[in-house]
Parts: sequence; structure tokens; C-alpha cells
Amino acid sequence: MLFTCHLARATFVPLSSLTKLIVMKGSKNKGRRSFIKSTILGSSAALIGGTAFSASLPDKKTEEASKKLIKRKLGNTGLELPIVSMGVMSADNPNIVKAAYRSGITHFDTAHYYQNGNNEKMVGEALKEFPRDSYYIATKVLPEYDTANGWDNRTISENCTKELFIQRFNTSLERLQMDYVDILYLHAVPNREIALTPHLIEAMQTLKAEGKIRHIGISTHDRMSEVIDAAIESEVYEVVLTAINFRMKDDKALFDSMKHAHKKGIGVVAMKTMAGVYLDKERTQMINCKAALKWAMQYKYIHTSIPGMETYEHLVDNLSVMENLKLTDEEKAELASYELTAGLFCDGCKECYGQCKKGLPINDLMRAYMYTYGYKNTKEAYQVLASCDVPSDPCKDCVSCTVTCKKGFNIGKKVADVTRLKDIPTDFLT
Amino acid sequence: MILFSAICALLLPTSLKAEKELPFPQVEGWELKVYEEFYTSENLWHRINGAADAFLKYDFKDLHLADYTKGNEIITVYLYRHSSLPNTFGIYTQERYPDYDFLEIGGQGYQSSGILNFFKGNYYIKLSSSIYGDESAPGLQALAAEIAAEIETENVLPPELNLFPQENRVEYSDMYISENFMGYGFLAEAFTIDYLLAEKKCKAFIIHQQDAAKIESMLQSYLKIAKKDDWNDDMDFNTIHDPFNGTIYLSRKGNYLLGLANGTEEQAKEIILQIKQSL
Repeated sequence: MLFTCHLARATFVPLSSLTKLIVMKGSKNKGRRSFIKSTILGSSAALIGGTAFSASLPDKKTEEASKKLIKRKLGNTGLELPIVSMGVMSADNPNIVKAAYRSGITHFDTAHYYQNGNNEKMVGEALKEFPRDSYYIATKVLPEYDTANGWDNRTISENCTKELFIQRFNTSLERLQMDYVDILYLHAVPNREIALTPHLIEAMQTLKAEGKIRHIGISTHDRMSEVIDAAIESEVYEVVLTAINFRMKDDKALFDSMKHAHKKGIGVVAMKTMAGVYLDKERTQMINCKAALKWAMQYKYIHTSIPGMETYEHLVDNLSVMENLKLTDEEKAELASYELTAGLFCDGCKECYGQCKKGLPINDLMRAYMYTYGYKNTKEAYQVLASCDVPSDPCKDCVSCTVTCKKGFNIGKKVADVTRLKDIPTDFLT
Repeated sequence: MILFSAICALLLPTSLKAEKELPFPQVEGWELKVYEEFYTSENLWHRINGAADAFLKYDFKDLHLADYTKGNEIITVYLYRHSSLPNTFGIYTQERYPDYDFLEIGGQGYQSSGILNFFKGNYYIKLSSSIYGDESAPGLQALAAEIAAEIETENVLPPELNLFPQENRVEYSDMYISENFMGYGFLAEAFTIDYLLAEKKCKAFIIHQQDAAKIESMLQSYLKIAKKDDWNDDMDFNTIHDPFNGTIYLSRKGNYLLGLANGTEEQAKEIILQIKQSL
């Protein structure tokens, strides 16, 4: 099932000689075509074909390739990493992982849960030909949850013992064919309580004492500020992996938490830097991924990032960020234009809680909005509204909306749009 | 105001409709609870975090969940809906491993340590028991069978797989790669199967497009990467020196690109010619 092969001996070409990247005509990357116009690097770069992506990545890791990369210290871990690492996204092409390694990327991120374990297996297979001390592996183990009160209110299940957690991690090590990983994250932690679960912390400390993990980490993409603060409070976590992208630029609490973590010597790793990559559900309108990545990595207290890379083009594009982190005016304008397309669907992150002066259940109202406008299921929307017990015009006394949505939703407008539904006789609903 | 719903339907962007009838049957002895929350491409990350990326590549539409409870056992059913059979097959194969205990359920399924996964039609269904180990097998299999029966499509694999030679296949190696095949954005919708010939494994692949121009575009893009300017459609196959993926043996017939990776010329002669004959 794995697409393995002996990599052809390509002529080594340093990063400085990568050729001009022009997106294929007729490819799905239509969005990129209008954005990626500049030479990756080097005044001697030459067009090949004029319409084809053509890049020669080095066939072996070299000191020169490594020199071209911007590196930052990952907190007090002792690791110094290029600011672009690799999020390993799929399990069907180990050659991308090898190409990334040969280009100077040293840090690879996977997880116990991805592709039912096949992602870890592929990473292990792809990297086993290289010296173990020449790269760093991060993996993640999910706790077992009790979801009796819904996913958003999940708690640690009784079944989620220290032994179960360690067993899952040991399975990860077997899949990776390694004796240790460099970072083990407690995966996708949604709140402070779970972050500070004693027996899970104990499990990771046990693994560290056994030499099976080098550093203890925590990953989060819900209530990130709260989780990062908990990580700092614990004095156990050494690395935090957090969602951060240009759509979150107004999330002061998140930025404060990341800065605080950095000051405390905790490594900060960025994920979801491309905010989903596409502007539309149909995945036809791609954002300027390079600009998005630059935006995140301009902050020096974000030490590295793990963008997903599935093509050699992605790899070259992401690496090119390290040539010049400064956003051009055009790139800034593009990122700003994306705020107009925040989408229809609430993430359910609940970061809006407590912001509404009237205490409206914003999360539930956004769900009703999704039913109405996303699914055209007005009956379901009405039921949600009925359970919320909100009037049909709840915002009428407010001069402006005090709720800031990290996804960029205009909350006031959406609440006004959906609560009008309450005035419609139920017989007319579909 | 009375026409609010009609106005919504007219003015709002087209979007997928919620699945009205979900294949969560009532099963004797089991208490069913269907989750209120469901997930689409915009919030799947919230439920399955980074694992969502793989699903999104396969034109994922929505995820609904349900719990079946019997005594102390709770089996959670994850019902992933995609747009087509190849896509459900594709995501299923991304998560499948040849060593699993395979079952004849739906198009195909397997179980392992408290889980049972299968696909049928446009659904990829994953069942997870609160009981780990072999004791969970009877419950999982019983529920899976009931759910499969609710889905009114045939128990089939994508028919494209029949274009590949049957002999010498590595069992359970068939896959569908929807995007970025071999690491190239211009190669997509590839079916692949591994073969074992003379004790050496190789990978055959087929890409088909309705539009011949798309195949031509894919081919030209690939030839530019490989710096090959002597493509010959009349040859049994052409040898491509792919800078990233090694030697690839490639041929075109009509709206099909067929090839062999990780293999030898002898293997290519055998397999590619057989595929061509089946087209």
C-alpha cells in the first residue's frame, strides 16, 4: 500500500537555485496561479517550460541546504528547528517525506490517530534509512473521552487510564519503528481541566523517565489561550502546538498566551497556519498559502510550524518562506480580503462565550444559522432557537455587537438574520 | 417574512442538504441515541482534529454519529458520507492495513481490537466499542450488518479495479488516490494495486478522465517534470525518469494513463499490456 521506491539520484541543486514556480495551467490550484508569481530565489533562476513546476530538490541532506533555513530554538528543549517543519498529512507517498528531509527539514509531525495508524507507519518507513539523530519526530496520543454530555462538554473517560495511554503510545513507537520520539503531545486538548489531568501527565512523565519520549507537549485547537496557560501553569509541558493563523489576528488572549509560553521557555509550534487552505467548501478557491505561512512565522515567539505538504510544489513553496519572511503589500491585501469570506459554519470553539452583553447563547445561535443557511433546514433551526429561548429581535437594544468571533463572523448580523425565523409560522418551515 | 425560507433558498449559496434519513436502524437489544451535533467540511476538524485533512481530500460531505448501548457496552458509530463510491473506497483504503481481520460486509470491511470499519456506497462507517479486545466482535459485527442493510446500494468495490490484472495482486493493496498522486498536484484520481512478481513488489496505477484533454494535460505536465521529449504513444510503454519517484513505466490508451512504479521493465511488460487489453 505504501508508494515506496528508490529515489532517483537527482543532481543536487541548492535551495538558492530553485527555479521559478508557475502553477500548472488547468490544475486545481487556480488560486495559487494568481498569487505565486515571484521567483523563489536566486537571480540565476530560469524558467523551464514556462508552464511547468520543475524543481530539483537535493538528493541528500547537505550542510549548504541547511544553512539556507531560518532556525529558531524550540523553547528550552535544546532543539533548534527550521521555522518550517512538516505536518505529515497522508500515508500514501513516503517520497514527499524523504524529499522534505533532504531539503533540510528536520522535524516531522504525525499522530497515533491519523489514518488509523498508517500515517505513523509511513513516517517510520520513510525515515528509517536516515540516521535517527538527524531528525525529530513528534507524535500525539488522544485521551479517551466520555461524551455523555456532548462532544463540547467531553471529560476524560474512566477507561482512559495511565496504562491505556502508555499502551497507545507504545503502539505508536512500534508503528514508527523507533525507540523514542522527540515530542509526545497530549492530543487536541480542549480545556484547562483536561490539560491538567494528573494521571495523563504522569503517563507522559513515566515515558520520559523511560527514555521513550524526549519532551512532553500538548496540542490544542479549541480554547487555545486557556490550554496554553494551563500548560504554563503545570510546569510540566515543554512544547505547545497551537492553531494560529491570519484569521486570529484579533485574538489578543492567544497572542498573550503564546508570548508568555515563549518567555517561560516553552516551545511554541504553529498548526493550521493556512486556515483550512480553501475559502469555499467545494475546495476550488485556494488562499495564498505562502502569505499565510509568512504571516504566522513573522512572530519570533512562534518557533516552528507544521504545514501539511502533499506535493513537491507545496514543499518548495513552504521552504521559500524562509527566504524572506516579510509580507509584501500584495500579500497583506490578499490576507485581508479573505476576512470577507469567513464561511457559514461555526467551529463551536466557544471562545465567544461571555462576550455578549445579554448573555445570548452565541454557539447555539450559530448552529441555528448553519441549519438555516447551510442546510436549508429551517425546522431544525427553529427547534434550536426554541430551545435557546431568545426573542425574535434580541439585539435591538444594542448599539454594536460586543462579540468577537475568532473566525471572523459578523455575529451581530448572523444573530439578527437567524432569529427572524421565530416570527415565521411553523407550518411554513421546511 | 412568511417567504423567508423561500428567500433563503433562492439567495443563499448552494450548499449540501442535511441527510434526512440516516442509516441508524433500531436494533433489538440495543438502545439507540443519535447525536444532535453533526459535522461538515467546515467543522470536521473540531471533531477529529488533524485526521480531518484526509477525509476532506475525498470530497467528504458530512459526519453523523450515534451510540448503541447494551448493558455495559457502548458502540459509537461514525457515519462519514462522501460524494461517490471511489471517494469512500479511497478514504477507507487510507486507513486500512493488510494485516487486519477482513470481513464480507458492505463493499469491504475489517475489524481489530474494538473497532470495525467498512464502506458501502457513499458511506464510510466506523464502529468503535467501549470494550477492547475480542469480546467486542459479536456486537460490532451485528450492528455493522444491520447498518449495512439500511444502505440501499450494492456491496461493490469501484468497478475500475476490474481493469487491473487479477493474478499476482497483493491482497488488500488496492487504493484510490483522489489528489496529488505521486506528489504532483496535476495527477489525480488514480487507482493503484500492488503486485508481487518474481518475489518483487511493484505498483500499477490507472488514471481515467472523461475528457481526453485532461489526460493530455496531465501527461504533458508530467513529461515536463521528467524532461522527456520523446513520448511515443505507439510504444507498449515509455520509460520516465521521475526526479522524485524513480523510474516509472507509463503508457496512454484513449482517456487512460496507465503505469507501473517501483518495478522492472519485465513487470511493466506483463502488467501494463494486460491492462491495455482490458480497456
